[in-house]
Amino acid sequence: MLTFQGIVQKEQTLKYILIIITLIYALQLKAQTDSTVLLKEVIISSGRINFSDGLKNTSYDSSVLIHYKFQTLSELLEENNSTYQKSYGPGGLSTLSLRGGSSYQTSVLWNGFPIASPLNGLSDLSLANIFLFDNVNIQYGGSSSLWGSGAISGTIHLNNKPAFNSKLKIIAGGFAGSFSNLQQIGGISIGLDKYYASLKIINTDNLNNFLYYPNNSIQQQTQKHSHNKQYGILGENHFRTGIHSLISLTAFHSVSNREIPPTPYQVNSDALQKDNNNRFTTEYKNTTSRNEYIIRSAYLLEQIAYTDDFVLQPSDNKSKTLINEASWERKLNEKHTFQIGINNTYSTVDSSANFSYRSINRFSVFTLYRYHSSNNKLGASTGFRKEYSRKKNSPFVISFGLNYSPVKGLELLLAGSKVYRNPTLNDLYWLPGGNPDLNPEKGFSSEAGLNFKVFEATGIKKKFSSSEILIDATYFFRDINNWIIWYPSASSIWRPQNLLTVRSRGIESGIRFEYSGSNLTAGLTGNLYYTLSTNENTHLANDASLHKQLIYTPVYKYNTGFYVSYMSYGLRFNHAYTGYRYTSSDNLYFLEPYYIENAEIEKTITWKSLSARIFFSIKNLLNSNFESVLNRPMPLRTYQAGIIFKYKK
Amino acid sequence: MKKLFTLIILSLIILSCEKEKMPLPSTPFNSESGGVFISNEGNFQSGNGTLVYYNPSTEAVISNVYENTNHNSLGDICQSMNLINGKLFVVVNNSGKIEVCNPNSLQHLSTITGLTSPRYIIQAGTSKAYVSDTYSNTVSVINLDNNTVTSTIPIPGWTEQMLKINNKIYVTDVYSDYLYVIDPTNDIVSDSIHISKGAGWIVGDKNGKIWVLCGGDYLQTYNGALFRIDPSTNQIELSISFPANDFPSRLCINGTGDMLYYLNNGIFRMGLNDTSFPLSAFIPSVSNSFYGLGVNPVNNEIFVSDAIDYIQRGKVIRYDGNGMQLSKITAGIIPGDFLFLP
Repeated sequence: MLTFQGIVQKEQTLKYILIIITLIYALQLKAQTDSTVLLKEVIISSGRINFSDGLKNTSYDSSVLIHYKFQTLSELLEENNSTYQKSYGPGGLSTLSLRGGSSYQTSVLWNGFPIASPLNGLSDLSLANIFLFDNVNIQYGGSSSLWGSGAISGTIHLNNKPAFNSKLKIIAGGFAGSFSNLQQIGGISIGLDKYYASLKIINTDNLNNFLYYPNNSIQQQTQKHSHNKQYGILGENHFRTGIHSLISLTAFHSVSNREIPPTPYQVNSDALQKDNNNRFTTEYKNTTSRNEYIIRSAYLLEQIAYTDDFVLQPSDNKSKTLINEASWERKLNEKHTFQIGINNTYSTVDSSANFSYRSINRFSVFTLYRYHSSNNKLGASTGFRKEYSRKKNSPFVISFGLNYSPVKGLELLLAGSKVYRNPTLNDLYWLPGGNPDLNPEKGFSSEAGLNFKVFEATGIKKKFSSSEILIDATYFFRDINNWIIWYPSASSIWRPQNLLTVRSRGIESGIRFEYSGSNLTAGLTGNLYYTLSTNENTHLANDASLHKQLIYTPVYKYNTGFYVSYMSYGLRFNHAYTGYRYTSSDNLYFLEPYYIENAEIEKTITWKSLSARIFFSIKNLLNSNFESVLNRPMPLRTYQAGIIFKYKK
Repeated sequence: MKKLFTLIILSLIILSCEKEKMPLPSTPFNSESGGVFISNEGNFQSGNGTLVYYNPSTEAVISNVYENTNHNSLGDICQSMNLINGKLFVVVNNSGKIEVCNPNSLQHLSTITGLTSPRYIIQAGTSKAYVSDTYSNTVSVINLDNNTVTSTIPIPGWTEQMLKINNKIYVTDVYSDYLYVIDPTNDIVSDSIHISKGAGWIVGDKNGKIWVLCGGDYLQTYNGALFRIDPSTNQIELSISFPANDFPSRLCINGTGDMLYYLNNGIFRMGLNDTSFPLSAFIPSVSNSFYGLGVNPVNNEIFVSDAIDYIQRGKVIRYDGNGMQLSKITAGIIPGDFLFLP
């Protein structure tokens, strides 16, 4: 059902908010003084990612993210990547598995700070609205020496970056989709020589009473008790305080209220979940030609409140995390760069239902080194990290990586890394069962890959004016020991224990064709993923899970897609296949594979400094009935339409 | 390039292969005398609770027997079973319902709805049954003529197993310290007996005495305990406490009513006149994963389930009365309760 009435009403409110914001910004601008540009454009996200030679990396910039302004990270990854999202339905909890790892083994970082809950170690991707971020980067493979605990199967970076001298930009948009899914976005940014500020707001209201076929029966059912509302505000301020220095302040507030729907086998559900997150960061960066000093802090406040009238025992879980970090990067010469840093992460948690106040203080030291040949053919980096706490000390981790380009257009990658993940505070202190003697999960992750680009010069030139074909392939291999699972102890109480050894290996391959002409751009992509992730250890007498694939880890996954953009019109189509996923560890029960097709058409109208992008999209075009978690139905075909206005001075 | 495309095409062919589904039986289901139904809880909110039928004399095992017979999934957390007035009642906890079936054909007869989180069902009168519940703070009264909930009896906390003796229904309660006594004529709580925390299992012996097993609480403020109660006076005759860090469960009694069995990591058994717990297990557990326990009233064979990792099909191991293993079969996910057909 498409209703634009709600948008119109909410846009009125949004309009006033935008006017107020503009006035506030105007006052701030008065304080600025004229000056010439003295500093090169600096990106706020940590330069530490430069020390990840040899690791596969996928970056989504504004040209891709423009299509996901009303979507969450969960939807972006589902359509584009090798990750598997365990989604409990639209708006519901969504966690990810990358390269056969667990949801806890991929670290999600916002501007370089890990944002997973210290309580349960999870990052809910359905709460990360793409609109709020400027850039999304997926770094595959282990990188614990760079990012610490949890960077085992990969890291996902959500970044905001200043655009100095970008002048005034305003964005506002509205969206309506099937099942009363309404969203509004609004943003304003001002980029001057010495100052950049941005404010973004998103509001979502999704009734979510979609239709589905329960358990493949022929009678459709309507999803009940699935209404969710979210809003988020993200503000940034960046000041160039001197020739070399930059101060950044960001604040990110988000609230989500969700009804938790019953499964098809439950009569009813009264469960409600409220997530309330407040995140603040500060960063001071001093960059000269040889040295870069960064001092940065994050203060992360999280609350997850859960109520269920049937269970009658509400839980209110609060956590606070203070991260302080200092690093010094020294460019020894054009080829050699060295970085040393210290990090202190202090978390406190308070869980009303399961344990009272607890805290944990972790301190780590890391050093990184990178060699970069002057002809750009060779890049090599290595890193070390050691973390200390009063709990079991994390292992000393080391990483190395190599990028080598023997011929133009061909890049070979090789990387290896010791990796680890600390137990969460729930694992340590949950009552009953918390296990304070848990060891961190640890292991070794390695990969080898290639990127091959066929340029115009290699023979395609005769047919196309500007086109390229890119091929990539990666083989990865990872062993993780001390894998934590909850299992009944001798006293029958469920208790987290370091029980499993999991071996993950697989191949990721992709091909991309891109054409760019004066009025026409087009692209065609195909990606194929093969992942084996098996349990290699058992402590149980009758265990049939030995050497079997982990549950909810598809062996096969592929996606293909194309886009055509002609003049001001655009068309995108995406087709994704997700293979069998086992739901029992003996691999006897499974979810059927599914195909999802999404299509979108768009038209952009430009009038002087103002542009409007109008789009219409169909999700699940062929009405596929599918589940990514057993008995958590997903919607059949849905329609969405929206408009985004942009003003740029 | 050609090779790459060939590789991609080949990969697509490989992944388009279909997995085999479990074959449907060609003949209609028919249970035999001496057969055993095993209820498998399945995982919370996964809706994969199942019934397995096992014939110990032929070693035949039929999986998913309810689903295959009725072409419908059983539901979420298949908790317990009971035979009442010649009908099989299957309590499906998190689906808030009880499925009523013909125990011979397993054909579905009716569904009792309107329950919150049912756990066990017991016959309270000729056409009356009681249902205990995790969350509702009540015991529900069922009219067995039309399989509907007619009223509820308020009892605070999580009510669990029940026992009928001397025309009184004794109701265990996990959260309170009391054993409740219901008068089934008037559907009211007529008495309560102060015992301990974590009461969940109750049996009657050949002397007409009641045995109640309390698991203790997880905070270990209360240890597990076993009580013997005289129903004529509702007085505790015997009370034995388990040591701290023991979490006993699944109290059962044999068909002749003179030997008690329970799980405490391994399988333990004790006589009616014992005044202390046995020091070692009658049948030890290898990996702490024994979950359900049943004793066949006809031949005293012991059935124990091994839930293994709780996310795969568990095993059921059958022992004779002397503890000798007779057979081991594969059941469903988290096998929990056994129903021995007469």
